[in-house]
Amino acid sequence: MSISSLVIDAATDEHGRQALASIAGDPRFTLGPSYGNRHAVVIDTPSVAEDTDAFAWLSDLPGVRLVTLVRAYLDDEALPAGAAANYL
Amino acid sequence: MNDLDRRAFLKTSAMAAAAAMILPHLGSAAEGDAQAGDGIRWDKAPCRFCGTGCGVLLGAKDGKIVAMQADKEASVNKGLCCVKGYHVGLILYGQDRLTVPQKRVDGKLVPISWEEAIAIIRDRISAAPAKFAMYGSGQWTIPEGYAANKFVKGGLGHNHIDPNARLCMASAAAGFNATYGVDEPAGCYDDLDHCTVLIDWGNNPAEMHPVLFSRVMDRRLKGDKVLYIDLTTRRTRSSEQADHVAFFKPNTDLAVANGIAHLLVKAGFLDKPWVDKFFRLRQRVAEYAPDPTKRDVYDAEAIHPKNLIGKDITREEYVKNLEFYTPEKVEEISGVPASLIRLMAEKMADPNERVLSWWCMGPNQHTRGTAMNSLLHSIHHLSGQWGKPGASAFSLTGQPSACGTAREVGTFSHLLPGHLPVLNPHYREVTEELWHLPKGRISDKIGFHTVKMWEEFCTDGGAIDTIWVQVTNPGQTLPHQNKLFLAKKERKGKFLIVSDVYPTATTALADLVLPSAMYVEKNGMYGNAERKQQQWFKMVEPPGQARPDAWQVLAVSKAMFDAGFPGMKDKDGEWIFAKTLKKADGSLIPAWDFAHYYDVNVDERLFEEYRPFTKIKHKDLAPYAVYAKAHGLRWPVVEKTPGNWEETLWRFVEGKDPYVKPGTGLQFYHSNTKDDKAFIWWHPYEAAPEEPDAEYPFWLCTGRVLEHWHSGTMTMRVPPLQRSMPHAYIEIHPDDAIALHVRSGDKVTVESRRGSLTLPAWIKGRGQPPKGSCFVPFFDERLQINLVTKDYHDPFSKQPDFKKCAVRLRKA
Repeated sequence: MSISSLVIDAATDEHGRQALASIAGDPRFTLGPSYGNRHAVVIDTPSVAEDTDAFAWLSDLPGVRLVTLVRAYLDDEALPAGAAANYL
Repeated sequence: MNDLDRRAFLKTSAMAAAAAMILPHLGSAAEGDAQAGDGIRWDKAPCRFCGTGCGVLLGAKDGKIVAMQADKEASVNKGLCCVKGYHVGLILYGQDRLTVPQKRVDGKLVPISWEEAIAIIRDRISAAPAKFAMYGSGQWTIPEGYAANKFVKGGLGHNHIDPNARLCMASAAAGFNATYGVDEPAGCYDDLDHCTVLIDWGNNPAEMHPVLFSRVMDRRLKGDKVLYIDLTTRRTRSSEQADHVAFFKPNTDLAVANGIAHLLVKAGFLDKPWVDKFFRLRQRVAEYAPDPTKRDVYDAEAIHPKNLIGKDITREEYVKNLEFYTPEKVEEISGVPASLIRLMAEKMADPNERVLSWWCMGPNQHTRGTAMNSLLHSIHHLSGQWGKPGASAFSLTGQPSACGTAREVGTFSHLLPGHLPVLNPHYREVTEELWHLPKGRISDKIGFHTVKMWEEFCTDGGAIDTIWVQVTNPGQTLPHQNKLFLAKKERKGKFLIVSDVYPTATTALADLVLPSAMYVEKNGMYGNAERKQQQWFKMVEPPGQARPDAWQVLAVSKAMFDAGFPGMKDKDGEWIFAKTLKKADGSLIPAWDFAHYYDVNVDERLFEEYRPFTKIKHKDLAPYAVYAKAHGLRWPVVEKTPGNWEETLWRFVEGKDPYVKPGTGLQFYHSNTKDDKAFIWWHPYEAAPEEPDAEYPFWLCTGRVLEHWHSGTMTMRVPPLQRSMPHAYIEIHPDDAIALHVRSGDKVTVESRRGSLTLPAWIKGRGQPPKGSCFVPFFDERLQINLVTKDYHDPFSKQPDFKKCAVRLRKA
């Protein structure tokens, strides 16, 4: 389980509105209160890896200009032994 | 609380935290949690990673860190964190933590007791103290670095101790000293909130200091006009946000700075009243050739302060020196368009603008690093873009306590605590007095700097035969690894001791490995890039037998004292740390026995012993107890009224700095010329010691990435970060890739005169170097680019140049 809270700065144009609609329609995200073009968002996913993927998706979403992390709850996912785990 | 309830609770808390960031009236999310319960105990700490010094709140439950949030009360990050900080709690929980001391027997590390480990170190050092060196870190906490510094300089009577900060900001320190007579920035991060023009000099803050970068970008999103100029040797994520991006040829940044100075002089800025009133025009004493084969000869000359502080030159000489650097000439040398040089000069000349220059490793990891740092200060002095909020020249740091521990505690081989030079007999006497040592105990000789230390260690018959490494990974981060680290394998009689938290490239060659407690497994205090000290308390237990680095030093020191080693005695014949650890009744707290280490707050004892040093150069720190309550304070911290400790945001400025005399405006009270004046330097552009040629036709630049911190020891064990950036790569320009018949993912061999490495190419990836250049990050211990880099270094700062050397590339 991984839950994290974010603040996003969305564009004030059509791209921004479409981005917010996409976020609202995605079960990984919960949109919270807004102030101007800044919006509170919570990501709720089964694992830290999926949380990271969701964060990356959000960062790349047209109309989202800046994503900042506020808080993370960590899960107990097994961590790799050694920095040299082979990913190549 | 069942899982569903807990999940709902955490989601509600998470939303409250995010909402509190944008709706300030909601108050502190941490307070909300504390009231709501869930059994999580929150406490403050600085982030463990870079030199930004973000404040975080860590949540501990059942002896484990289970949650993290950015600290809204922290002035640095104001409730925000980057992707690394977001995962900082996970760095404690890699599966392969070192948990027992180990010594190498027949090529293998085998577990031993702490008693045996301490005895081995005691005997090794006692047998040949002059051949022992300590290699530390800008990740040492302040008390840890202080203890190690006293152990070596006060106990062993020599100065062979140096921090890895030598590799990252020694040139910045030398530039400050050369210009102001005292180290560290005059400005602070608040300049980011006031600047109207931001110039990056060989810097990529979007990845290296993302929270600070977002502080400026956020202003722009809100409508503030901040012109952002990125002077860089490759396109980066920072470039994507810039109004102007200019690629300069490696080493030509000095020409660009001189081009700006040239235009300021043409515009009459030498006649501005502040120039004569506050500054002197200077240049170096003697010409020196950048020929690396002459390096040692020049090193010896450059050590002397008279070379660092140079000599006066006349206005006419200064003007004549700059005549060559017309915008067009600078464009020819550097590749930066003349129009952009004119724009930067115009902005600096405009009193209505607030220009902030920002840099980190680019101007520091540079064989002309001291000169480049000095020039950056100088163009701000000349233009008057100095001493006002937003108008400043600011050097960032890469490690969390590069300033606090390496520079201020003086763990460099040429310094004493308080950043006092060992060459100064008065400061040696002061140190002996404060440490209660016999007169003459502190050596008057500068110890080996990092490159020299490892060169001596890796040479048969070299002057160093034992090195104790703490909190750093030289087996990955030293340049020219074959010469400065791997050569140890072939040398007889060399002994490497490593205190660390995980197995690393350094422990791979260690003869003795000591398991260390890390981060919030111990008390600590760091000092960040803006002169801010931040304290934290131990929150969880370290695994197994892992113990704090400060304890390790105290235990070895006490064992040497007990064995009769004369240097571990003070002038009364007591142990050199006895006064540190005495109770009010005069009895000694046996903190060298780990069972009693936490009978007292050893950090507080060491810190309070250190504090008097900080006042000597007006870097005053407050009592430990003040930091325990505060969310960081920037020095000098002075007690305005009893119990009211105030930090200083801008130094040397009347009304901002408590040490500036009223009526002076600006007062550089540590002036090298003792007349309250700082310097405007002249330094020429010179070619790099190694440039591309027919045999090695490409420039190589090395550096970092967003997801990983330095050698990746911690972040490569955090699954989301490892997945996001799983291995090192080489960036090549698409045209060069076509010529080499290389596509993204193909293996490329990068080869220099010193070594080679084969790794995958990333074309049109996150960054893009210009044609004829390539970039490789250094975080991956399996793909070590420091096999390829060179160990040539700046003659003053002794900082190696990791940013440029000549290589050739071929498809593997």
